[in-house]
Amino acid sequence: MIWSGLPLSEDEALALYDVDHVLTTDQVASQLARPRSSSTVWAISNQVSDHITFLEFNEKDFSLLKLAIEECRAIKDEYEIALTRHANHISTIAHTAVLKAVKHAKNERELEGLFIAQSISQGAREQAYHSIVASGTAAATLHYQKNSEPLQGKLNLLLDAGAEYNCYASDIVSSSNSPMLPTNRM
Amino acid sequence: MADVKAILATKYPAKAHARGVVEWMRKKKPGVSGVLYLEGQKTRMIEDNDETQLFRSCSSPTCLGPALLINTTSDNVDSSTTLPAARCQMHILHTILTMTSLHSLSRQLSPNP
Repeated sequence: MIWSGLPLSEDEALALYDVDHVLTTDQVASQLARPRSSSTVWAISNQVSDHITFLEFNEKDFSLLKLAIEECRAIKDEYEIALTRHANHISTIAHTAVLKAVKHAKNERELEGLFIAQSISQGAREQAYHSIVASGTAAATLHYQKNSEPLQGKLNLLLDAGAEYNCYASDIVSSSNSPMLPTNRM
Repeated sequence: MADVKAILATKYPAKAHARGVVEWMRKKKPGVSGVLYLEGQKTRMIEDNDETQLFRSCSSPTCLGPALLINTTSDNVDSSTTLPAARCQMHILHTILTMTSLHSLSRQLSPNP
């Protein structure tokens, strides 16, 4: 019996990631201790395990690296934009499915369930954030959390929901004073 | 969506991101040279539960925290990833990047070298 499936093998990681070599974690210390022409290490404070030492290095900097990553990640490259577009593509399918289902739904929770079902079916296992499915005056609550009120008698629906694809998020809000809602149907 | 599919069929550009970070650091501190060590997270269990907490920085189910080690001793990039030494749940995925020449890197990354 295997607990949660086999871990990634070295060869699989090499094929999957943009790296040249794959080693195992027991080799981290020896990699750090390898002789180098420069003896400076940059790391992020409070993000270094107890068993990792930088004894081999004369200089240690625990501030510049974090700032550099924060600045660099603010600008997305072509690949990241593609990931974001794909997350938005999935969310668009899910939003459309929810709005089409409004006329048959009786409760906000059915719409939240449908959004998640569509996201997962399209390949987005995680949500970027918890959906806000707010009918009637609840739409004025910025971070409405119930998502469990009846749709009967409501004139509008606010749907704030976004799927996440490979750790890249989408965030789409639609607000409809919709003829699809039961009350507004002819 | 055709463009998106073609782009996503390739690998996530980790080396380009690492190189961008080094270039940014060199603008602040010319001549930055050495090792950049970035560590991820160890597995955290949900309290009184046999499942692990969601780790949002990497989608690999076996990746419980990548550690990135970039050697900027030269202008070279040569990258490595380390996987769990023990085949068990409590492990860390480390990614080690060693810089080789930016010139040779661009050739490595080019689809038609």
